[in-house]
Parts: sequence; C-alpha cells; structure tokens
Amino acid sequence: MVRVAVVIPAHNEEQALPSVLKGVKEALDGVYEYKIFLIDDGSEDETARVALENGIEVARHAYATGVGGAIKTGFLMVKEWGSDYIIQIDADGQHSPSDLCKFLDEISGGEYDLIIGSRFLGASPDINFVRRIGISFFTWLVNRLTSYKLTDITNGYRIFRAELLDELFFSSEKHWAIEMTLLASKNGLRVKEVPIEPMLRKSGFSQFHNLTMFFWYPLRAIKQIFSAYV
Amino acid sequence: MISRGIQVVGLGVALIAFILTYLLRRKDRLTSRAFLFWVGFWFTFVIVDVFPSLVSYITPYFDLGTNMFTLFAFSIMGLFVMVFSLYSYLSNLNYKVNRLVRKQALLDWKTNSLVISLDRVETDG
Repeated sequence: MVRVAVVIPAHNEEQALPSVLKGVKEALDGVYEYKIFLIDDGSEDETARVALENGIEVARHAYATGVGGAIKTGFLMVKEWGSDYIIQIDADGQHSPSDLCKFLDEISGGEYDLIIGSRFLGASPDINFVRRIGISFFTWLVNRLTSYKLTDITNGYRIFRAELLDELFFSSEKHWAIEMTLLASKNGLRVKEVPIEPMLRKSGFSQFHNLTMFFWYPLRAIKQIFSAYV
Repeated sequence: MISRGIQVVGLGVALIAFILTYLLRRKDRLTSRAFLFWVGFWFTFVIVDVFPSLVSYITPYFDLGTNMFTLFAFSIMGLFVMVFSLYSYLSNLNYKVNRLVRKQALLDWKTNSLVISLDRVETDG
C-alpha cells in the first residue's frame, strides 16, 4: 500500500483541528497507509492535547518559530517514518481535506514531482485586497525567476515525492512556500497546480492579523528570494 | 561650536550609560572585554563632548567642512555599524534558538513514542 505522511503545522488551533483531523482520516482511511504528524508551534491553547487525543504523532515547539519552522520539524519526523508521498495541510480549516485525493491522484500519475493547491484556479477566494496584491506580486516574481506558470505561490497545501525531501528542504522559518518553489525550480522538478476549494477560517487568527506582519512579510519574502538565489 | 546645553545633555547620557554598564557588569551580564569596550566608548564620548574642538584635528583629513559635520558623519556611520551588528547577532541568536527548539521537540517526540511502545509491549506481554 502507498505510504502517505501528512504534515500539519499548528499554532493555537484547538477549535479547528478536530474537524481537519477527521477530514484527513475520512479521506485516507482504507485507501492509503498514512500517518499524521502535527507540529504544535508554541501554542498557548490545548492544540497538542487535542492532537494527542486523536492518536496522531505530535511534536511540540516550546515557542513559535513560524509555519516554515514547524514544517521543517515535521519533515524531520517524516524522515524517521519513511513514506512515498509527503502532504502538507494547514490546521486552521482553510484547506479542505476532501481535496487530498485530488492531490494524491495527480502525483501518483508520475508526471509531476510537486503539486501545489491554487485558490485562484477554481471559485474566487475570499482574500482581502492587500493580500491579493501581495500574492499576485510574489507569484509573478517567482514565475519570472523560474519557468513555471503558477497562480498561487504562497499556498501551503502541497504534496511531493518523499524521495525529493532533501532537495526541497528549505531554510526559511517563515516564507517557506516561496523558497520551496524556487528550490523545486533549481532542481529541475516538475510542478503543477490543482484547484482547491477555498475555505474560510472558522476560528483563531491568521498570521496576517496585525499591521506589523503586513509590513514585514514582503521584506522577508524578498530576502528569502534573494537568499535562495545567492 | 557646540552649545553648552547639548554638552550637558551629552554628559547626562554618558553618566546614565556608565551606570548601566557598571550594573550590567555587576550582574555578570557583560564580559570583562565588553565592559572595557563600553567604558572606553563612553569615555571617548565624554572627552569629545567636553572638548568638541578635538574633532578639528581629524576634520581636515576627511574634507568634511565643519567639526559638527564630521561628528555627525562619524556618529551616523557608527550607528549603522551598530544596527547591522545587532541585526547579525539577533539573526544568529534566532537561528540557534529555533534549532534548539526543534531539537527539543524531536527529542520529546521520540521519547514519548518509545514510552508509548514500551507501554504497549508491557500491556500485550
């Protein structure tokens, strides 16, 4: 049976997490051999306890390193287990687990190495104007730097072949999605986007809930693009 | 010419800085070398503050016009160096802390997995 590792970074997501875990289990049960790895990135709520009650693998960061930092820890956990595919999904409920099979069908076809979810290929997502501009700009920039024609570069819903983990192991603790795509291009990997169902956050806060983040995000992202190329 | 008012403010700043440096050293938060560096730095600051005309000895070498401008130019350059070294130090520290946090999380995860396996073996046995 095909082995699938599901990596879920989480920060203060005790409310949204149970339905995400339920959805993942429903999508994969009986079809794939799978393991869910949750990285609690310095949560102040009961995220880790909720995850442990669901019988999944949990690692806890003593303080919040950032989404990228949590995913990196998840990748190291996955390495210990060994799998055919690694899938990343957010814990906030904005990625629909019902799309999981779409990702797995696409990657198991063998034509692509990395599949990225896109909120812009299907129905129009509910994203505010400033963020939309940011996403469009960085998507355009990465497309210019690579030979890809992507629409949603910052999307964290992704799947890739586990044997490519070392090639895609990014250094960023925060802007991992951009760096991972640039690494894919550097290593000549075949990348495809699939439309995903845009879902609204049901609880908790986005990382963009304060002005500081809006200010720092573009600067850090540009620094990351620069680092990936120098 | 620097006004007396700003000289007095400068002396006040230096005095506070001396006290803070001494307190940090007493609490062992500064190494002896760092303590000597900062004492030297603030001592130079006081000398230039009390005798601003000393700057006139270096002004001609840099073709900066007035003493005041020389002082500003060097202060701004010094601030840039400090900001950059602080940035480098913080980035390095952040990297080390993240690494430590990751190591600890993985160690705890492995230990918990082993304990769970042991519990299972004991229960089944």
